[in-house]
Amino acid sequence: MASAAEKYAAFEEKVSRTVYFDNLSPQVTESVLRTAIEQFATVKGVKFIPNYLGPSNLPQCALIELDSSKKVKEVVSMIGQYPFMMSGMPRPVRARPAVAEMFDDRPEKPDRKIKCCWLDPNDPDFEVAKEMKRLTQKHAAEVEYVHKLQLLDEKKLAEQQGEALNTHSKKLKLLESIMADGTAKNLAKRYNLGVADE
Amino acid sequence: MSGPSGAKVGDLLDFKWGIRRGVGLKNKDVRFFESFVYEGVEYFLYDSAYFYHDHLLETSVGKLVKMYERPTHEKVLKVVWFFRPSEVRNFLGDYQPRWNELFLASGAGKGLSNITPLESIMGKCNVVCTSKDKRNPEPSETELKTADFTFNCAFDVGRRAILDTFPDVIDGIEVTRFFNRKGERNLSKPLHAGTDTRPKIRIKTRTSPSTMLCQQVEDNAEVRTSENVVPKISSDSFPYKKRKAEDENPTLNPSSEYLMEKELDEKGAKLRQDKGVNRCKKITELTTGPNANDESSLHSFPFKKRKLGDEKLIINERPDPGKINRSSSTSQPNKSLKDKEFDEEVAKLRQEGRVKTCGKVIEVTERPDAERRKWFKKMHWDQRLQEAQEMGTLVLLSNLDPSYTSNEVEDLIWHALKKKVEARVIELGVKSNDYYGRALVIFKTKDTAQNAMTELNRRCLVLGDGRVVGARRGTLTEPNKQGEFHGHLTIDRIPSKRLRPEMRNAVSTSHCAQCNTIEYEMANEWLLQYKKYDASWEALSKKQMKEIEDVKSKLKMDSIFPVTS
Repeated sequence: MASAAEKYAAFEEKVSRTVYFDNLSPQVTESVLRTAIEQFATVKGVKFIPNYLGPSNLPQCALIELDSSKKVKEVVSMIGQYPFMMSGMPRPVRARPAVAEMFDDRPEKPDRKIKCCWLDPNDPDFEVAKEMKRLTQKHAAEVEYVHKLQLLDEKKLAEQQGEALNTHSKKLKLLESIMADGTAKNLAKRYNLGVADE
Repeated sequence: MSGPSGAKVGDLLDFKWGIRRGVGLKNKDVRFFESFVYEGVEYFLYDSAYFYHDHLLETSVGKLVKMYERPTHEKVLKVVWFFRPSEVRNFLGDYQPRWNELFLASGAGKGLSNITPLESIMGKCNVVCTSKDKRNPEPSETELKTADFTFNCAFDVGRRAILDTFPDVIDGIEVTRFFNRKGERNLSKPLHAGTDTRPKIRIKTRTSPSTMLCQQVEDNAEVRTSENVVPKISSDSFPYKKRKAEDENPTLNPSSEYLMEKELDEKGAKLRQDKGVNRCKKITELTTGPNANDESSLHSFPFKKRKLGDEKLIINERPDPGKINRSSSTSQPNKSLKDKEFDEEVAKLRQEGRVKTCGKVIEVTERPDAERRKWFKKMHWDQRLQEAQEMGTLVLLSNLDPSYTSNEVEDLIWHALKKKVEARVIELGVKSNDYYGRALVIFKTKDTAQNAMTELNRRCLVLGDGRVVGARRGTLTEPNKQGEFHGHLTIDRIPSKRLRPEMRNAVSTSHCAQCNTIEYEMANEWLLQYKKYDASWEALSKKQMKEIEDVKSKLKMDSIFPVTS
């Protein structure tokens, strides 16, 4: 039975070998992730982080365990430099090295003492403590709000890009079609212009 | 020959060509030179100099490799660039550059060299090569001391890597020209020491904020204008190419933005590297350096941040009453047996001699039956949480230390509330404030859950580092059923049946976007979006931390947790 310190050390080692991926589409599955990352490094484990409390259309996040921390650095820097797509374009994924708090099944830090204490309403510090609680709630609301804003912004960007893409593709389709059905050639003959073939 | 505006192009103040070199091979009207005098400074071929770029805070340093005059009397220079370490920091790897070290551009690709109008030159610069290459004469002590910059390595713009060995030819010029000259002339002139501060002085104009900034970044190609470049040169002599750019939408450049840009520099610099090389195409042959271009994309940052900031201020007031209502509603005291038990406990605590404040400090050790945890095979968390929510036994604890583990939370609840529970800490996401840790706790029965919440809301459970645990009924978010994900686009294309299998695979495999695709540009827009929100989250975090500190300082921790052990 490994002692607490050893367990924790092993855990920390695992953390240093893990990459945290963000902005994953809900269609990304473990196998997709695996094949994607196996292009660069051997994947030892894949774990998705469930979204229990965030807004419901938050992108997925996952932890990928690689075989060495050097690989982690490489993968993170590569994804930082070149936009990497998974299961769809053009929104890229993001990666950063994992930290201990990202694992919910982490072992305890050895030699840590937690202290707690109840404060009653007639304590001198009670009011301050209550203020602290209120602050926590306020902050949680703020966080929720920023999440919402972020999702709205992302939606806007996506829509804009979608429109742009559609116009481009329509344009190209149009070009393709007039080349294909000979309209271009006919017009060219009319105007005595040369039309390159293909 | 005159430019489109009718003025005689090429009349510069303070300018005189020096030694002639010859005429161009293709176009006999192009005349090459070996030196010129501009603004009182004489520049020779293969000198290094500072160049000014629109909207960039720093000048760029480059080596003059060609200087010539076109038939239109435009005077242009061909410059091979030196990169500053900040410009290539993503590609440095382990290399630690010195503070005044530069990297010589080499290889082939964007950012290697530019043809720039002569007016962009700002002043001479003394760059000494410290490389141990055989072809490079070693610089003397004095030369090193008086040098403005040194360079030791090359940076290949095609491969984007630092090279220790210099290639034989850089952009058609022999590399020996870039090394130190034998019998080096003393080039350093004191008056040029301050040249790199000049751009700041030149930014005089202050235009009112245009709505441009609120648009998306893709429009920013037009944003880069030379509106405030070189105001001292009279408009008559403005090279016509620069004026063309002026006609495009004006941009906003309050000088204060430069300060913010410095902060955001970190965030945007990487994008500059990528986007800059693409956006080059849009404005031809303007004074552009390796990464002049998406500087302006940063402009949207501070404004968006400000907008966000204002909205945040508003929400400060709103949710408060709402939240308080919610917590009070959950803390409707259900007078049950358990409640009475609590009351008794409270009374007991009160009687125990309290010198300063509340009852005894509870040290949270492992729960008595902690071993038991390891025996039972646990059900999948998703299922358990879902069930707990339906049964009403799910509670969300907030403001825990984020480094707590699930077991520690369970221990905490055992000691504080004398209840056995199952806990799951919520993992740290990169978005929310790191200070708050949260956990979902499943109680045994609905009543115990209710009472715990009541208790935690009525009294305050204070943790060792000044945190007060908050409790709320836990509600899980609905899973994302529609698979709604913004940002993945599809277009009606050839139906997949007709696609060859390789093509089908190509679309669906994960890949890095190539620079020459629309995909790449769109991806960069998304990256910008991410960076923008990173900045916002950080700002929010900072603000929240400050508020927390303010309240914490009021809480007298020493009186609650007597410093004994």
